[in-house]
Amino acid sequence: MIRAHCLVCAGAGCISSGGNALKDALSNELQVRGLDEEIRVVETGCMGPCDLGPVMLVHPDGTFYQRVTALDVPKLVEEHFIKGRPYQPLLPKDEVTTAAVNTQRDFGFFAKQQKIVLENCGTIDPENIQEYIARDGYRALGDVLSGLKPAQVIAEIKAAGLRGRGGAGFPTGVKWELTAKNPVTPRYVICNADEGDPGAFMNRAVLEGDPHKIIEGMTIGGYAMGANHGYIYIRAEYPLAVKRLQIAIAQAYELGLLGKNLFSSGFDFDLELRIGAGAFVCGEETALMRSIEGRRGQPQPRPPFPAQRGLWGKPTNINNVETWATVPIVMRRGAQWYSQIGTAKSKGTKVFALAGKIKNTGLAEVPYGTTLREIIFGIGGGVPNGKKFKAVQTGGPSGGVVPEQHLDTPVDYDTLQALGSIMGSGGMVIMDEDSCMVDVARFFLEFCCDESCGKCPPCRVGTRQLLNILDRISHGEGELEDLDRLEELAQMVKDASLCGLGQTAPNPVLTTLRYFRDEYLAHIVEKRCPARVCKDLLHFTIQDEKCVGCSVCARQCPVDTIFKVGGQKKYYILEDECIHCGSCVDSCKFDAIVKASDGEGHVTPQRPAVLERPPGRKPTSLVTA
Amino acid sequence: MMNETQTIQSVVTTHPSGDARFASLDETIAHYHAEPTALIQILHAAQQLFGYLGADVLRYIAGKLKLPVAQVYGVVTFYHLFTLVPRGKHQIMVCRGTACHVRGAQLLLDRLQQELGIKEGETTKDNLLSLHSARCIGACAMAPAIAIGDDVYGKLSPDKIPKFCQKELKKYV
Repeated sequence: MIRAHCLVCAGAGCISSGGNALKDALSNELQVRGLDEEIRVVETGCMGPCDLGPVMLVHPDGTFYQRVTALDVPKLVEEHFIKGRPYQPLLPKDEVTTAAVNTQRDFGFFAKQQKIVLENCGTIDPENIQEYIARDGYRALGDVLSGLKPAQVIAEIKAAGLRGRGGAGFPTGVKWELTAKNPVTPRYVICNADEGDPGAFMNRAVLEGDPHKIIEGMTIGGYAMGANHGYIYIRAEYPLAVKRLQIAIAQAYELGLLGKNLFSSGFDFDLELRIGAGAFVCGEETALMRSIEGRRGQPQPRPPFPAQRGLWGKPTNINNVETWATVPIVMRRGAQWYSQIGTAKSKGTKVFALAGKIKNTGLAEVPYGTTLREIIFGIGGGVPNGKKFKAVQTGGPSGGVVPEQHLDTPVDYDTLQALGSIMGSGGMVIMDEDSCMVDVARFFLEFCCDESCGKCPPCRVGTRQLLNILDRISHGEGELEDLDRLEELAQMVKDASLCGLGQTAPNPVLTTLRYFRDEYLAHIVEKRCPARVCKDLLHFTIQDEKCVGCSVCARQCPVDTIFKVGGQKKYYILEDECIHCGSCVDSCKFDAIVKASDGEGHVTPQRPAVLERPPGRKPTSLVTA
Repeated sequence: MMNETQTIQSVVTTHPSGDARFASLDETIAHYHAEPTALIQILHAAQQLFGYLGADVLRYIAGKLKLPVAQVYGVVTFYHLFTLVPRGKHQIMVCRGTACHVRGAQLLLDRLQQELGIKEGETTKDNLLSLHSARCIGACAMAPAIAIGDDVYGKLSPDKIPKFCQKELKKYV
């Protein structure tokens, strides 16, 4: 008799913080104590609060444990499973009352979410199809194949108001109809699992945590559009997701849920994996299809749209992971139910990936219309270490930054666009006062410049020129005219590029210029970086009054540029040779080293007459040029 | 027994070197029915086997799939994950996604370069470790993170790097 289930998160975040060791220790401990017949350990997909990992959930009582290490296991088993009371030290604490939170339901991070797409992530074993079936999995497919005509399926998806989750928000039902109405056969369906936006990992969670939902959704879509063949195009950077999908597909074939004559309906559907090879542009649908065809992933002009001429010139429908994963839920619970969630124009829920300078990094699923403030501060817990929030970057390299004054905007496709950003696939990177907006813009530009496929000049040459200007500014060599040049050039790249990559690449530049022009001016006019990020504009100084002469900084310095002041217990940084790495600041326990960016007002402290090699300095292992 | 003999024969007839890795590659090519559209998947398998995609391997694949070598070369150079030159046994990928960037990935990379004595894209003298930066490994919650093979190490900082090199990297050496 199984009396309890231990759900151990096996998402990528928890695994990297020691989830596998936890699972092994737990299984071992339960066996040693003879409880392995009563308590089952299940590895699940991502539960969401990655920062608290490794996390674990005990059913049926719903107790949620955070930061559980293998060393905690004996005590935890003793308290929870033998004495029958929650193990207090590992319970999460309430943000306001600081009281221990006993169940997952009461934990603010979960309580404020509405999990629809992620309903099974963190609940089932993704490598066991039976667990998916037990959660009503493949029921929608059965109902569709045995009772509905393809047109009825499309009508239902349309009525639900489902919009593509990949970024553009095109109505899914309309897209399906276009493919279905094209008389050319064969037709194809594709799942875009090339989640390349840096700062986004929503799709990864679904792929790793609930792979069957995607398979079921694609099969329903295949039936609706008369396509008998599907491809999942997944990035090679997600090895665990690839493995779990391979297992899921094999299991589905075994049970006759993929293959010939599904549910005795006469409908055949085959599904194959295609693994990418590291090219961001392959997330663009026409480039993605070229890549599946085994070619260089370069985009094509549209029209013809994939629904007209797609994979191998045949009608093709491409949807994002999250869109496909929503399809079975819409079909199971009905368009009527689904369309009540969200806002007038954006229906349902959206999964956001919270990362950057935020307390609760991880995944959050909320209905459209939830404000940015609620997502970042309510669920995300705000900015850690008492720092001040500066901006949130949405939509990856194609998106823009949204500053504090717009935090009360309800999130949907249209509101974010009005702010100059985009919804994108759902990544949110939070920046605090220590993030430099010029540096952020430069970072994204460098990304797009590097990832530009090189086919069209506005993107290939334009992003490079934008990057050159931003480089100059961050090195303190910018001039005021650069701001006009940036704006003019950005507009040109936006208007003239062939595909989405180039058309949206200038967004980070334009939004940072719009909301944080003062930071650009500080770099250009005063030659200082207010957030103290841009290396060339920094100065490091040791304050004599605070320095105790412990020599830690000098031993940390990778380029041996910190010296002992002759005859004194003080240290001195030779500014000319400093590489501005900041190791000394991090290592100083007395806060004696100041990192400043005071521009032209900077005064270098006078060089002491005698400088000595610090004692005990090990010969450096470094290669210096 | 029969099968084994056939495979061995096919090695002899397909690649003059008799290198057993080509037999493995042949299996992958057969799995995809020598379809030119499976080129990327086959290149993945080849890189797994040989560690990199040398001219000999590219010519071999091109011949098998009846594709111009130029096209195969074009595909290899388009995608970041393929390499024409040998790399170290293990690949250290420093994630430089947005989340890692704002939490100091660049400083991490600088420190690793110093500690290992190699620059980004280079390999240590003992051919064991290569250092690269990745666009985003999707471990944003653990930022800043690095990946070595399938293992992800998160929440690092420059001052943790020396210890990390001494402790964790030992596992791979």
